[in-house]
Amino acid sequence: MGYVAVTAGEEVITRAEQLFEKQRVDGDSAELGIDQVDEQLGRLTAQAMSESGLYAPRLAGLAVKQAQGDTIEAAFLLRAYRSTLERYDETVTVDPGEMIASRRVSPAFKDVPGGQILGATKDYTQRLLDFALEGGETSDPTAEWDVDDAGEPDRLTNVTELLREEDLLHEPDKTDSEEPTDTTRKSVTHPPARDAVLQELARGETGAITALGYSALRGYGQVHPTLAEVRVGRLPVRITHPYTEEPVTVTHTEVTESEAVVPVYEKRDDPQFAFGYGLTFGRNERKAIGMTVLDASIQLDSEAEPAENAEFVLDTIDGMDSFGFIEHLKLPHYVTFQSILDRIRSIRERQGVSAEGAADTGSTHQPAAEVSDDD
Amino acid sequence: MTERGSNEGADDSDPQAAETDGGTHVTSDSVDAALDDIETTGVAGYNYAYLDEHTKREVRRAMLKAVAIPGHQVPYASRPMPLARGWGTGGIQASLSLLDPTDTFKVIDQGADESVNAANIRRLAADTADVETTTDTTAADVIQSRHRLPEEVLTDEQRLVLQVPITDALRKVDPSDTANRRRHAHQNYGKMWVHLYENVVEYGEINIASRYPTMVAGRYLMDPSPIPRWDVPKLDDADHLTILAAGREARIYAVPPHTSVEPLAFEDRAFTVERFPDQACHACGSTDTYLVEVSEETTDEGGFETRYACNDSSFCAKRRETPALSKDHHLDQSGVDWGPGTPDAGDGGETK
Amino acid sequence: MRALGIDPVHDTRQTFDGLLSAMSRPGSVHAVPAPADHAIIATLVDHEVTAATNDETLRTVLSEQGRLNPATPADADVVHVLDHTDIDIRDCKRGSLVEPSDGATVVYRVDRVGTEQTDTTIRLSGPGVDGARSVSVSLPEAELSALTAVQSDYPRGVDAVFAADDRLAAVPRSATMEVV
Repeated sequence: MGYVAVTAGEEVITRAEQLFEKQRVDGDSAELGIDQVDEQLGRLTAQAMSESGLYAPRLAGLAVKQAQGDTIEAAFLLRAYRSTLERYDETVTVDPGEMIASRRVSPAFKDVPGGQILGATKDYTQRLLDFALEGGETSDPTAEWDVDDAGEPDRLTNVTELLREEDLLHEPDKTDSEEPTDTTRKSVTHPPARDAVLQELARGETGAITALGYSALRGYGQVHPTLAEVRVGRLPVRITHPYTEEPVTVTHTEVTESEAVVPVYEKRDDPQFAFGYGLTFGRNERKAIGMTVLDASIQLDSEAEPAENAEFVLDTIDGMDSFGFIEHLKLPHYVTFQSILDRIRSIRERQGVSAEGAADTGSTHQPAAEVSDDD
Repeated sequence: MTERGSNEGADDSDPQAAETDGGTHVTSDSVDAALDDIETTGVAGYNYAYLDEHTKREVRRAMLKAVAIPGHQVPYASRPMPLARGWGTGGIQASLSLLDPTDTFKVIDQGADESVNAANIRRLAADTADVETTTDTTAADVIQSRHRLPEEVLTDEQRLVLQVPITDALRKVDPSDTANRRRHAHQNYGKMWVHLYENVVEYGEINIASRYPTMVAGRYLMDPSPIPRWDVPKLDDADHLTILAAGREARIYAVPPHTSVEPLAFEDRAFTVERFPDQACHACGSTDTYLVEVSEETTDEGGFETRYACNDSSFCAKRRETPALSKDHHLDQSGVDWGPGTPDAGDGGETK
Repeated sequence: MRALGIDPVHDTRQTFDGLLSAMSRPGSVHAVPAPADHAIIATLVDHEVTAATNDETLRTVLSEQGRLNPATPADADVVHVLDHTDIDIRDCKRGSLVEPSDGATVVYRVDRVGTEQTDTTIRLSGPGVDGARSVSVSLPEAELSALTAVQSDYPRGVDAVFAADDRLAAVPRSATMEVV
């Protein structure tokens, strides 16, 4: 093996990047516009935003396009971009009750103040492939709807508030500090505060949260909640105006929120339900619901099952960490493998030698094929 | 929680628009401007050495504490980098916080400068920190390495940054960091000793290949990163500073110069390095360097031939020019102990 | 930081280089931009850590940049000491056994650090020192003895930096210090 100059490595990387890009542009189809990704693949961009912790729909569209649809890769691009941005302010805390909800269902009750608003969902329709979409010319099926101008939307009563009024639901624990934890600034140490858990879950990989949440429901855990609410809608983003010092709304983000009631009594005397909370960017109901299961499971503080073990959950749900480490296995490992080979050869030799009855541990002889292994 | 969610979104808005619009909705122009910016500004839009000063401060604070408490894993808020987690993000944050425009930077991956990932990291540093890069170990001020120490002796002018995948030696015996942090707090390493003992009982010797557990300054059990055992003795009483950085696991630890680093072993089962019995590098003839085997097809019988080559490719290149070049050829000192093949290496260097 | 005459990128990098060398080799003296104590605070302090300082100029500059998170010397992560009589080092944070790195970094502004015979000499050994290394600091023996006591409960303890004009030296808690 001759000595290879450094630039060869860099040229190889550039070419590999170009080959990857080629996969995206090689076909005859028209170039995908970012607005097309943003408008027509909203679930994909929502997942990228939620897993990156950056609400930026058009940048998410760009990331999804660049990543050729790979959600973790897209989230990775967004997170890396996010970390270069200067953070010059924090929002004023928002009451989720202010959400302009386009969808709100409450499985806990047949009806609730404000009503069950089914909104946009395919939950009750059959999953049949719609070949009409192949044509490329579909229209808005709601175009002919007769919609009244109903004025300002009602504020929807939060279902968990109803339960709290009756003292049936545990109040959130008070924390000592006024500042919420930020796990992107201070790494998680265990046991984690609840706000750190929720932040990690909110940025967690959808598949991981779904799988671990499912494990609790499937039997590997005690939490089988009743959902108080699932809401999808827009929440205002407010900051304190630098000059007037008044709170001012700068934009809205689309979010999915879920609250669950867990029929596990928090205290023996004066029993109350425990609860789980979930919130993500964009429309991603399974992740928000999965979050409530995991939040509630972790609060049980039992660690009997994976979903109830805060360390296990937080160590495994971050998409950047998991994808990075899994894919890093593709990096060269031949130095460490050489070391591993040395160990197994040495041990086989030692065993081989004892089978032959000799005491020569310094032998450099490679073990013969008939050395017995207790397989 | 809601506040946190909304906060993440604030970066999408254009501050100019927010002010002139009297604080109502963001105009779409600002998003287009953001997208334009990504295309045109590129690397030029970043701070010196890529990381913003805030990030560097945090990494630097962690490094200083790590040096003050040798072997203790200091938590830090590891930033997402343009490299994936598992590909050296910790090492790169440490290097970028260290580098100065007058520095020369060497990056190796499994001993090779020309590895694709090493080249990638070198590119990022050269572009954003404006440093000279080199493949010559003796010419580098900062060396970032994945899983090896160079064959040539490092001096007190040099700093080594090792990329760490798994930060805790105790992970082998307990997956819980919480439990392991308590063990480190109380210097309670019994569980590791039991593990090593069970190894000996089962296999006749300690079965740990790389990531060999070591005791630092007689106080902390440390995972030296997946360097081969061959390289572990080089950390003991070294002239240089070693920083070990993990991006994904968000910990930094360090071995200052002249600090004792002792691999765990038993009286009757001494620590041994990897052996390359009767082997030599087919390119330069070395018998005192860490070798890796390469299997190649032989043209004659259609079979395979196993050959050995030096893993440290830049040192191998030097030895091809100057056979038997010593590992401390660039130094003017005696009593060099830099593992196998150096004058005062001692028993660790078992090359039978 | 430019208000202090400190370049926020390159001077802090040079100061960090000095700090790292000083901590890795306890007792060794390294050149940094002057005034050293200001450079050190500019390099280490922002709103992610708590800082204690009586230096009005520093307080103002850091506050203007939103980088001052003030605390008392007993509660601060970084303690800036203009005069050793301002604080009792025994009150400073030493961290916990589980997280010893929570212990404070104490930055003493001193007149001299180096080889001045008339100042207090300390002899250091342990990690970072090949054998032993001596250095002198213009602080009273009593203060350095108090520091030794605070650092005697390893791994808990504080890490000290002596900043004089355009140079610094450090004594991390891992070092064994003897007042000579």
